[in-house]
Amino acid sequence: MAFTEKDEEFEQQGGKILSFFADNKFYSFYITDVTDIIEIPEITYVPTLPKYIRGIMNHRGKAIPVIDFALRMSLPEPSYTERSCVIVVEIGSFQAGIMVDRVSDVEDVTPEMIARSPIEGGTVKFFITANKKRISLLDPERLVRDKR
Amino acid sequence: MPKFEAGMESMLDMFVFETGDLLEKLDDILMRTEQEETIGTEDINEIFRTMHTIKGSASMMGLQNMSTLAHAVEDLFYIIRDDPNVKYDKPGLYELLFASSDNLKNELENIQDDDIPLTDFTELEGKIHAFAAQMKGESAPAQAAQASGGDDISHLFPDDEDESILTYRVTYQETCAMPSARGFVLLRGLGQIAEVCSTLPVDLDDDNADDEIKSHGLIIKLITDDAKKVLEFLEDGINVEKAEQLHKPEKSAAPAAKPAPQAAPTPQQAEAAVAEAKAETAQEKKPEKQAPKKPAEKHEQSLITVNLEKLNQLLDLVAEIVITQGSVTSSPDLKDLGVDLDRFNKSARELKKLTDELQDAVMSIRMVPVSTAFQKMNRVVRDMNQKLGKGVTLLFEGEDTEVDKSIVDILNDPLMHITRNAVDHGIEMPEERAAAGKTEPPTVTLSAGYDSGEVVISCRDNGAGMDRAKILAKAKKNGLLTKSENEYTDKEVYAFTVAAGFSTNEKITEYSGRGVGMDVVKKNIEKVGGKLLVDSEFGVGSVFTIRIPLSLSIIDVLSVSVGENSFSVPISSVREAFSCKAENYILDPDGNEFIMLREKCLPLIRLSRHFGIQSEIEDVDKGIMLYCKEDDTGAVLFADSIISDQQIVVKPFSPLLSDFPLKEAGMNGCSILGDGTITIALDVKELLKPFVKEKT
Repeated sequence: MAFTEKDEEFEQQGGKILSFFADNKFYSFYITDVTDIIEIPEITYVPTLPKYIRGIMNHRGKAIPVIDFALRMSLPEPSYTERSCVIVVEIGSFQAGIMVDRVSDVEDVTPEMIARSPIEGGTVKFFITANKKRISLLDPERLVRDKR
Repeated sequence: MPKFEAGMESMLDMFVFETGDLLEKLDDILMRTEQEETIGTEDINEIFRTMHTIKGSASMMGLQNMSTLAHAVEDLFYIIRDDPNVKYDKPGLYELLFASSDNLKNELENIQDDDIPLTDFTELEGKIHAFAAQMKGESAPAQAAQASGGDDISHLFPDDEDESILTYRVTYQETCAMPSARGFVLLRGLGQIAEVCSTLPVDLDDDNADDEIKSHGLIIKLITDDAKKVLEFLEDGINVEKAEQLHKPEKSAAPAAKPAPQAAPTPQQAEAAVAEAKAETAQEKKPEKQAPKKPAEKHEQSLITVNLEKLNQLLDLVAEIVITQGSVTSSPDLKDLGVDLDRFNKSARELKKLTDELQDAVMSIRMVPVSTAFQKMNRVVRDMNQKLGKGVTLLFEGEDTEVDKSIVDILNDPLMHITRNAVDHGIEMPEERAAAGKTEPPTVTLSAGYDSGEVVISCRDNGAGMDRAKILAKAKKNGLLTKSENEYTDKEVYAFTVAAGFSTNEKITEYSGRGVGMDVVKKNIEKVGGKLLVDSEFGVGSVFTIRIPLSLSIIDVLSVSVGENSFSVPISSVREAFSCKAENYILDPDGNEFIMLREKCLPLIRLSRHFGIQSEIEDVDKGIMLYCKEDDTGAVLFADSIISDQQIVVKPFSPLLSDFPLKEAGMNGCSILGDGTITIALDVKELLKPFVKEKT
């Protein structure tokens, strides 16, 4: 998937991102893509789906898929704690939950902190350097849709 | 000129919906009265009112072309209403009426697309006017001289009027069909820059208002700080010919004093009205005849139009309320209180009852009877009868079957194609019928009903049926055959008729024969998860059946648990739930498992193994068996235990999961239950697929 207008705008003007933590690395979504951050809810297992899709959860009357971020990225499975949560992201007009170890922060990103990933259409759109941390900005659609 | 009045965009949806609805009703009346060959006073009035309303609202939207066309038709009925014995060419009249109705309907679609210009209806209007003239046996009254009502303006200025009140006169172009409606819009806009004190005519809704404005102009009295702006605004109004500020004449000694024109127009004014009406149009109604027309402006208040999106929002909200209520009333905190909760529990039960009712009510709002889609077919068949002379009768069965609104919308197009096909291809010409010794009248029957979680709509004709040999020959010619002719089952052969590029009709007619329609229909139905089936018997007739899953509808299910999961099986597919004794269990050497149920040997599907779920219950006599049947295929599902039987709303899985073969694995969708948990709805047909026997 090519870069959207939103991506271009972000690259030129910066913006806010929500960063989270998994396996000692930082990842993030556009804050505008995030609609909720919730405690890990009851998740209904749906047979036959790949393992990284934990199932579906009831989020405000809608059954939305929940993706285990660590499993999706083939990271060692974390032991989820009470600080773990599900980030609800919007993908087009649909929603998906991304289950993460723990949410880190909302960061203000300025253009000089942003480096575009050389691979267009990859899971990572940008690499952001903030406070000496490297944060990958992810395309949530690729997380959910792309079969592994 | 913009397509419609600025600021009216928000009204567009409403206008399109209402007008569409009115035209639909008009068609019904026309069809009925044409069949009955008499047209009662009631119907004439109804048509008249319909046209009047369309004229008014089109004019309000600034859609001059629709407005004048409606006006022309209104005039026709004015003549008929005035003189019920007037002689006219009936088929000709109906042709004109249907043409007008169709044109208006098309225009409704056009206006929603900015790229299509407004259609010019002048030709049709000309025809209508000519017809009206013919009806009256003469060309309409000679044009009377323009009465001069506007020159004497002294009566507009009562002596005691405040000096700050300014008076304006707006005159409209002659082509403007409903200046009163235009005026109304103008006043609305004017409200932002000035305070309107009064207008003349006083009541723009009054039936005389149009004539009044046409002859005298619209007089507006207002208070404003910026007279120039007001004048500019008035001049910019659609169809406004001239806007001017009037000043109090020196001598205000008009003997006529202040008339009350809307109550009783002076003869002079009435004359002006006649003059203004176009030569061939009928004269405007006389004041005393207006009474029955008034209610037309007020629609039946028992129905209101709601945006579907709002309805969905309401549905979601109600679902959330139900869930939240569940978590409040069964909150663990209550148990910790350790006090007697009798009264709380009683109220909680009442609340639950109410929310349940609320949920039912909201869900039922989305349900509409399929008759709305069926009724449109009346028109299709009527038109074709007219052209083809087949005299087909259209019958309905189960037209009050209620389905979700979205399904009715999906059905419209396929139904039309299928009905056309049935009349055009299915039913033979009268001579052929007679030759075949068929005495019963030709009929096409549309029927609707539910069957195992699907809406089933079928179209049955008692026509010639399909000729297997002919279809095969044609399929061969078109290179559609993939195996030898004898290997094809009847059903497979008939399925060719809905394949792309297939038509056995030798001639391409106006209605069908190009072989495009049916495969598009098939594709569209399949897009929403439905199916199109064809069956036929040579010489007896054909049946086309559409099956569409009830995507958002309430179904009764039996929910069972498997391990920690909950699955719901539609009750319509469950024949029996039973506990099985170990001796009725058979394991064959190939590893297949069967259950003997009353002399029948049925395949066993363990849901736990099928879905790869850990379950502690492995022994067949510990769990529960569900004997399910779809069509002719039966099997036994094995689950841990029954949770409950309940009603659920099955929603498809999130489109984000569309890459995964959930449907193929036998899962239809999911449903959020009252307590917020999720159950997965099973698709029994899909589960039984491996056991379907190929029929030869």
